Amino acid sequence: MSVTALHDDHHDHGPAKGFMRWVTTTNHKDIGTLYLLTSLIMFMVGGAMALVIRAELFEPGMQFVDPMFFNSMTTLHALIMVFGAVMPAFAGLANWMIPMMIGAPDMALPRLNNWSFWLLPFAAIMLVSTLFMDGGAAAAGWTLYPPLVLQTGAALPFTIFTVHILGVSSILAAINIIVTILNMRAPGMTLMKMPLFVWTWLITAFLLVAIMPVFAGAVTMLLTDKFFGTSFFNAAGGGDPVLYQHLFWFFGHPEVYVLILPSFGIVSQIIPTFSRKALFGYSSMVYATASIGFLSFIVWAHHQYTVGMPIEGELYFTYATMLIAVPTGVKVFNWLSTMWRGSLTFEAPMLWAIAFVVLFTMGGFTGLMMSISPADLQYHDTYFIVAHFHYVLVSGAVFAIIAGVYYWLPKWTGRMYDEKLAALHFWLTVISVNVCFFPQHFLGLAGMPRRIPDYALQFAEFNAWSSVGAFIFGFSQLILCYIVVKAMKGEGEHATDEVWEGAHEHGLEWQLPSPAPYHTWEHSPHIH
Amino acid sequence: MNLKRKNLLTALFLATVAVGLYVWAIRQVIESVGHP
Repeated sequence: MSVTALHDDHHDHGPAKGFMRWVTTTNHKDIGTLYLLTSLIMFMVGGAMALVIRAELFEPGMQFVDPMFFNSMTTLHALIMVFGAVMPAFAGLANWMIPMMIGAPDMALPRLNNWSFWLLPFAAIMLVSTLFMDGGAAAAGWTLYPPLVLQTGAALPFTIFTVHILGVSSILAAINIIVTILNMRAPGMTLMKMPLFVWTWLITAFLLVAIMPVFAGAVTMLLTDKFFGTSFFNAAGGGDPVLYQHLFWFFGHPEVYVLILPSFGIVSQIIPTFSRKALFGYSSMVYATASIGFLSFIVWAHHQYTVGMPIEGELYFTYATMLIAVPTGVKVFNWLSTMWRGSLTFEAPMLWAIAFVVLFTMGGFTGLMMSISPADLQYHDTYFIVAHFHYVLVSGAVFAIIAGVYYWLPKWTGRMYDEKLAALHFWLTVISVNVCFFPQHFLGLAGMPRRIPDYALQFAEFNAWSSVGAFIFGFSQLILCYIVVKAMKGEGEHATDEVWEGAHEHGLEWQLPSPAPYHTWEHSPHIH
Repeated sequence: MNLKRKNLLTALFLATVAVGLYVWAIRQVIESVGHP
């Protein structure tokens, strides 16, 4: 492989100047930065919607918004957080880190990379603009179940178009990542030598290529049912709305793993560095990730226990879902074993990674409770579900993203963040996130349904706690914004090339200067 | 095979799989309900 020949036309120049640099860039670091900043903005937009929801639910009765708008908030909050915030954050981390970690000069298809990114802001703007259309934004929840979603007004085709564009963006990004990892590794970087972050992203990218087209197919049929007289999901015309649910969750369940597998990868990078040990059970981590990826395709109907399926079906989906606890347990025990007798220090990335392990495992346990089909009849569509998926997606995926940002920020910007400020950010967040989401378990078990703007008096106290936690959590993230902006402006202590003590043993990226130069690995590194 | 061609062919293969799955999903529903 002639790595240097690939970039002959890039030699001897840095980034272009001005706004057009960002529009036309094909550099993986620029595109990574664009993804990460877009994700940060969308976190703020989606977070503001969450605060509208929590403000309304602070006390019983209708306070600020009408029920239709409340339902639009729950729907858009979820769509924006999943497709506009968490997925782009992982895409940003992948763009920045994968070429640096495997010793490649850039992504395999840099122009495609530019297009994958630039589809995203337009889709996000279109999705938010549906709030101002006749009939308001979609309000049927992020699952977009028919027949309810077909009652959406002018916003429906725009919402579906948004999903299509986001899907195309994700598929193209996933293809690029797979091609980069399979074809662009430095000589000697065999698959089983790749860092766990690269492995988890490789498996995630295969999941994305497999699931996004199915979701696109499902919403295309929603579109034809609404505007072209078909009856795919219309029982009156001989169709079946439950078929949509099957297609949606065939996408939706692996999608959950798209949001969590790269998190596993980030945590598997951070824990060994701050334990000053190699990752315990590397190959079992790889096989566990692949097992989780495979199992994610055969458990989808556990989201549909209440639609009425044969008892054999319920039993199958119960046992298949429980099986996921095995590879997930392998991962958790491997992280603990890595820390065991390690020389631990607790800088910000490690704090977030440990919080991830503890809180994600709690979210995993409530998932196990829901896998039991007869028990799920009690939990289904209650706040217990809301508590569960926020534990795995906020204190899971979002915590891992924040951990990754603290871990690699000095490498990106060449500046160290303020450790005291980062510790304040961590403790405010970790306490408030539990104040926000832990009481929701009790609300759900007591029977409070999800997606409602008003509730019975008995639920008042826990809801008040939850809202207080949500506001503290939301505003605490301004500290992260301050830390990131400060580092980007080049303020703060200079970071060393290694950044973290002993880090050069934990990945190729730590052998590069800080900040990482615009072009890296134009000559392939030598892998032992 | 040079790297550029190898990258393109791998990407095209994956894109074909994606388009195939899109068609497969719609066909599944058509076969289940017996009509569009």
